Amino acid sequence: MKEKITPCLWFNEQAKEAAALYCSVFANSRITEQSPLVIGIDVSGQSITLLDGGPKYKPNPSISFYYIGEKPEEIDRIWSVFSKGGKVMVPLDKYPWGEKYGWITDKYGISWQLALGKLSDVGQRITPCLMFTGKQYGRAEDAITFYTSIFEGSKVDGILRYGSNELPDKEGKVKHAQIIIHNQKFMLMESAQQHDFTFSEGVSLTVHCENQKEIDYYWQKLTEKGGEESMCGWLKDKFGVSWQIIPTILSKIMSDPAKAGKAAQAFMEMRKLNIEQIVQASIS
Amino acid sequence: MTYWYQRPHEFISEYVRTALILEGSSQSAPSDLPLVTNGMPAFLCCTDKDPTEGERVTRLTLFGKSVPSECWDIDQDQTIIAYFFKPFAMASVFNIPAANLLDAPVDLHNWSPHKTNAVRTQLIYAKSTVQKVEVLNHFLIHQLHENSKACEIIRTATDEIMCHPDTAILATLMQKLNLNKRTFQRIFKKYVGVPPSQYRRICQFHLSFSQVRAKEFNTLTDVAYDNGFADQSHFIRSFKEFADTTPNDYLRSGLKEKT
Repeated sequence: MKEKITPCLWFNEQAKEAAALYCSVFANSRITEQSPLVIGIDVSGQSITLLDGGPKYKPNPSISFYYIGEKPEEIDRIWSVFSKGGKVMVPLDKYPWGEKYGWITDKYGISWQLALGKLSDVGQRITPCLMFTGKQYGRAEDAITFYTSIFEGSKVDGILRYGSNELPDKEGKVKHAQIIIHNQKFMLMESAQQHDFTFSEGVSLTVHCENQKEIDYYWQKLTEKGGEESMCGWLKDKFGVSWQIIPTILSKIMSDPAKAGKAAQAFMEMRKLNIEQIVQASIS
Repeated sequence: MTYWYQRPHEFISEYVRTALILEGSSQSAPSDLPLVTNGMPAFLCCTDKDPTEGERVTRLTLFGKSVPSECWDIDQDQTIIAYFFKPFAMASVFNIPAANLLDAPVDLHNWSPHKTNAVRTQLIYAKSTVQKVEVLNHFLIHQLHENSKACEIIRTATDEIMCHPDTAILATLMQKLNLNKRTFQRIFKKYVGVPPSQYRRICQFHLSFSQVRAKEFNTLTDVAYDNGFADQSHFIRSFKEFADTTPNDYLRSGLKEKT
């Protein structure tokens, strides 16, 4: 796998509008790809996919995006944009863990943790953050082991645990962890408080595979031990996190109007994607 | 506007009665649109061509009862493709409980979002209405293939019970379909909405009622035996249950006004 794991955000007819908003608010961002259902954006070298998937799924804060800004004004500006129609999760303020930090869910349901800091502290501008709540509470440590064992270029960067005086959270549970999988940073948290969200298709992670062997590998590993296959290359792992296991060549095929429909006809019937069959169908 | 009916693809013709295709144009709609759709379950696909957005799919919906009349309104640059299903076929083809389909229309985006998005993509890239119909045919064939077992059971069971609604039919069917009683009842209830025994009694009443209404009988006892009732009192009980009157009263004064 050469390409990075990319987050995919699920919208209902507002992907285009949201992409335009994100490109206007984040520095060094641009639209990289546009097809009827899919828009790709790049924010400081990181790709995010926006999918106009329909009404069924909605993004929620279970997977949020930790954004590092290096100037207070930048944080303020982004905060004020996302405040319009959004919902504050943690007010923008000074905290023990940061000079300036806030957590906000924008009007499309995408959740952002905005933090003032140095890019070099985290190493990347935007970091997906998985929060284990409800039934998934207490499983973050298991997830850390699971994900770092599946992807090459993985390691645990640090785990901060709850202390004995942080009820309702239990001592020893993961308050905040940073891990590296496939040479990319991810954050994990767990929270015992009442939350009305858990992992869903609303925010998923896409693995871009070079060949069928890679597709087979990630499909098998991520559905293992209680995961669940879905349709068209989608699956849920045992924690309920949604993944898309997609061949790298697919985005090229889908950007060709002469091939896209035929390819879609082929993968409509698939659970795990079969590269050969999709390529053959697309040129038939 | 132009419209035409199309015979369903041979692979789906056991389940789909007909397809109706409407294409909007700048000319106003004719008033003689021959829509005889009441009560017929339908799968509706609507697309339009937006000046800035291009081709869009605006509706992919299953209507378990009939399609509301406003759904047939069509503007320039819009296309409507409708598949009218045979009774009881749609639930099994889409693997949706019949009860859900009767409740409210089902947006396919809520049914299987990933698959539906693949269909949407195909429709958007289809170059003509004919190609769109091909996309939808392929989709329905795929659905039928995926749910072939349930589809076959429901089609066989509803047809055969309708033709021979006597008390022995259910046992005969279970043997023919090689299903035990519980499995048969579960599958039937899920996709038809009522248990097979009730469906059978409705069919039996329906046939006997048609015979009475058409006055094709010598005595009411004959009607009872012709339609597989054990005796006349069973026939009268059935008549009371479904028509809220007795055969004799019906012959004298027709159906009762519902109060």
